[in-house]
Amino acid sequence: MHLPQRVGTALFAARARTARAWLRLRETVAGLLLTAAGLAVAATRNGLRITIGVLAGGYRRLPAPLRRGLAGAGTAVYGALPGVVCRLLDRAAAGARTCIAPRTERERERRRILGLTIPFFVLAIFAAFVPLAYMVRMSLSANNLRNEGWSTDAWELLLADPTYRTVAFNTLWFAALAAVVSVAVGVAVTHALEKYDLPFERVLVAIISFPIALPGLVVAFLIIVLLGRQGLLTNALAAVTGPSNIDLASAYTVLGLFLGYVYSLIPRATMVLRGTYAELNTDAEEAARALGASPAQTFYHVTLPEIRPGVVAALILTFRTALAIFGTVLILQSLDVATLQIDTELNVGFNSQVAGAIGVVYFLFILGFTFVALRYVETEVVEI
Amino acid sequence: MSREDNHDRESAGTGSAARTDGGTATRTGTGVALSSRFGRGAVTLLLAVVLAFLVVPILLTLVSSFAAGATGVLPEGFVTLDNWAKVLGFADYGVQESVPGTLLFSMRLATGGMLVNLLIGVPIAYALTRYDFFARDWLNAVAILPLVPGVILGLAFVRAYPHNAGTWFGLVTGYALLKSPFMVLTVQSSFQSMDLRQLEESARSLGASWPRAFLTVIVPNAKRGIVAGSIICWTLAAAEFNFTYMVYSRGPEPFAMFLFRNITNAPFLQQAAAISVYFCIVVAAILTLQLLGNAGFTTDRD
Repeated sequence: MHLPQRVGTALFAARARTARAWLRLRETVAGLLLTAAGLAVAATRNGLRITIGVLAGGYRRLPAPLRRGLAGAGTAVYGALPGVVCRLLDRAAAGARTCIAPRTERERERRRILGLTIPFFVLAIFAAFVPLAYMVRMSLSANNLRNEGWSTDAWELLLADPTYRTVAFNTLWFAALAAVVSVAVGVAVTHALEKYDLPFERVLVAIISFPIALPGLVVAFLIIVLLGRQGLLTNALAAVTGPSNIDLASAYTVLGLFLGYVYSLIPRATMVLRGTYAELNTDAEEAARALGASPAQTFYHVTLPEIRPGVVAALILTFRTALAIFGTVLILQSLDVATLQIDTELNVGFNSQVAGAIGVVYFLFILGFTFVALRYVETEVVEI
Repeated sequence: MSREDNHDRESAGTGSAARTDGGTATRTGTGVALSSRFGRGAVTLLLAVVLAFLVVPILLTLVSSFAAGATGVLPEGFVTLDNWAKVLGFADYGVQESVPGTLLFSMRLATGGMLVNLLIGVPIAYALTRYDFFARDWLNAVAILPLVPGVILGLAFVRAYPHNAGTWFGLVTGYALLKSPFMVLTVQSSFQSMDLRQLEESARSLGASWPRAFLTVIVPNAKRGIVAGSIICWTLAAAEFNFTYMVYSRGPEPFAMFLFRNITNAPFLQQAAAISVYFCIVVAAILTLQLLGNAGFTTDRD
């Protein structure tokens, strides 16, 4: 053989050897870890006073008869464990082996899925689960400055005081009404955008999507620009009708707040509905029109049933979004909804327990609502 | 829909008659239905009203920021850059803390949140699109729906991490969690338009290891979605208010708190200028998203 070929073959063999050695090493490590785990269980159950680390490290180097004896003892102990524990241990051992030294393609895939989703879980645990657990504890704390002692006063107050029932009622009807109105308007807007041949359609869509980027705080300001004491509409109405424009200012009334909600929700409803409209089959509509149905009839009997999933999805999204609105209502302050009440509890006497309890109820409601609602539509269509 | 509904109710009698006989053409001779005469006009009018409702306050704010006074119906005294100068900190007097400082701080926070979102959003979007596994649908719902409102998360953060909640670290973590659904969804929609299995298998059969196939073949192919998701996350995080309001106590001021202070305290024209700064950012974001093929400020593709 020529030299380059020989070098190539040698290199190839060396690489294969390295790969084999690497696999063997990983198998060994996995085996040792498992042995250690098994022995740890055995040791704690039997009360044996042995250093687990030393045993685990030395297990492979023990003489064969002793090793077999130990394995036998381990098996016996293992067999004495309740079935559930055995199954759990098996699952854990299999999982650990899959992660450390996967053997089949399926196992490698499992490891990949784990690796791809772990960053998300880490963030979710530290930024959501842990804080939410603290919040539950906060609602049961006896001290309002830190989690200390136990008390159910906040929850009793929440159940007994009619104020909180009013807040809950306000939150729900206001969000529901805003969602329904926004989706109704959204259907009309989407219909016009998708069905009529309007000029600059892309620009119109971009303009309608603009408010999605605005925080509730800015939306409140825009409502003040329209309807505040110096607002455009207020001044225009005052110029026409005559009365002092203070009386006409409606930004700080429930109507103003409602317009603020609708301002945030119409763009979101429209974007969800656009997705549904894009997939609409126009043949049935054309047939209905050709058969003599009026546009309204065609819409009601043909189009509406087809876009129903989109309408439901838009209702779910807008209702959820409306529940979470805070900045708008903090500035306009015209209706006691749950988010504002949390702020009030903290500002007046720092009732952190009550605020925490409202937060828990609120979060559980949104969670429950979402998962019940998802039974009716696909998850993907709910998001803008 | 309300207008359409009205028309439908007006023609309800004939509508139900048409339905009972299967919608055949029996209505000829009763004249033209109201909806074919006015329907299109009414819906278009509603669209125009909605557009005006959405756009007029934004434009008025933008215009007012260049005005010298705003006591009449419309702002007057154009064109002056005083308000912008005050807000941007170029004037001798004005807001104590100028926009550049607070905006720069918020931009850094938003960039931090966006980077975290890239690290967690792209991998999980790939796992959810490419593989099928135990509880995939549940994980999908949790990853693409914002389940915790900002206010509640803020409240929980303050108690769980009393010393870190209001610092840049707490803010970045909160923004990352709150905005992650937008990243996951946008990247996912990009992945869904690709044949992932084929791409991955071709790369691997040509000798790439799996990590290499993922990083050098699949991720670059989803570039459009990743960039769009980053822009959306960044813009939303730059002015995130609900969470910031709950956790912020002292230290450098995030942009949303600056806006809040201005909206509650400053003179109208200065507020207008401060908010217009953010409008400029949103306009830039929307233009970029449109270049990338998104239909405006959404995760939805055109």
